[in-house]
Amino acid sequence: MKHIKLFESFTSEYNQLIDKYIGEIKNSLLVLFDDYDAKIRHQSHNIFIFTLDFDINQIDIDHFIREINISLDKLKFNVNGDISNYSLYSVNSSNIQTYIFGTNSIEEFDNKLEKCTSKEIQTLFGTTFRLQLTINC
Amino acid sequence: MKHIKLYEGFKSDHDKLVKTYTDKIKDCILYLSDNYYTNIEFINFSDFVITITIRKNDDYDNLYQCIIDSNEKLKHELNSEFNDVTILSQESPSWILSSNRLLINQLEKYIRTNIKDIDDNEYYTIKLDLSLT
Repeated sequence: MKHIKLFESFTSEYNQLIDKYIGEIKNSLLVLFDDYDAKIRHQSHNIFIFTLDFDINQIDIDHFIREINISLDKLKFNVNGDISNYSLYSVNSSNIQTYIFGTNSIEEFDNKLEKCTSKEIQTLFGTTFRLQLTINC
Repeated sequence: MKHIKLYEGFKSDHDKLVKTYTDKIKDCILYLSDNYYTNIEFINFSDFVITITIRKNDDYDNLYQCIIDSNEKLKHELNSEFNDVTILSQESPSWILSSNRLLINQLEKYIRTNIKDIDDNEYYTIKLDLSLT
């Protein structure tokens, strides 16, 4: 008699689960993936890291924040997810990132991002930035 | 139009997956849990720990065989096996014997020679580490 293997393997099912959620998070953040150079990866437990590179002088900050808010609503609805941290890094030509600030509030992120359009900040950090979102779901 | 929520959340789905495999491990270690107080804990990624508490009146003679039988069942059912065995005594917070699967037969010797001498209120804890494939 042949035995039917009912359990695929824990790691295989775990990886499938991660892929499924990465796909669904991508769908939720589609406006950001469509408009920017964005990536998503699983970090650990229920934490996923989303990164998005942009040039501060080439974006409309109000529109950018609106897109993040739309994505946040979709995340909440689609995968019961939330953004627990918004961090901003500067990125140089060798792709080395330097931490600038981090916050858990979109309003504070918006306020601080506005300040990054100043000449002083751009002299210090350049104009290419990386937004890193910590997503819990 | 009402939307149907397809995803409960990663944590919820992950907890379900862990529970499914914890139950499967439970089935595989029935030899142990029928005779000894055992507990299964999910640690991280694919790592689980099975803890067995051994008291004076427990049947030590079968303990080693139960571990081996459970290990065989895990190999067959889940393609995994215990990768480390640690014995901790109630008095000593640090481990007193730790061996990888190649040295698992040391456990038998240790159980036969040392654990039998414990007092009424004393107990030993055996931790079996299991990484699922």
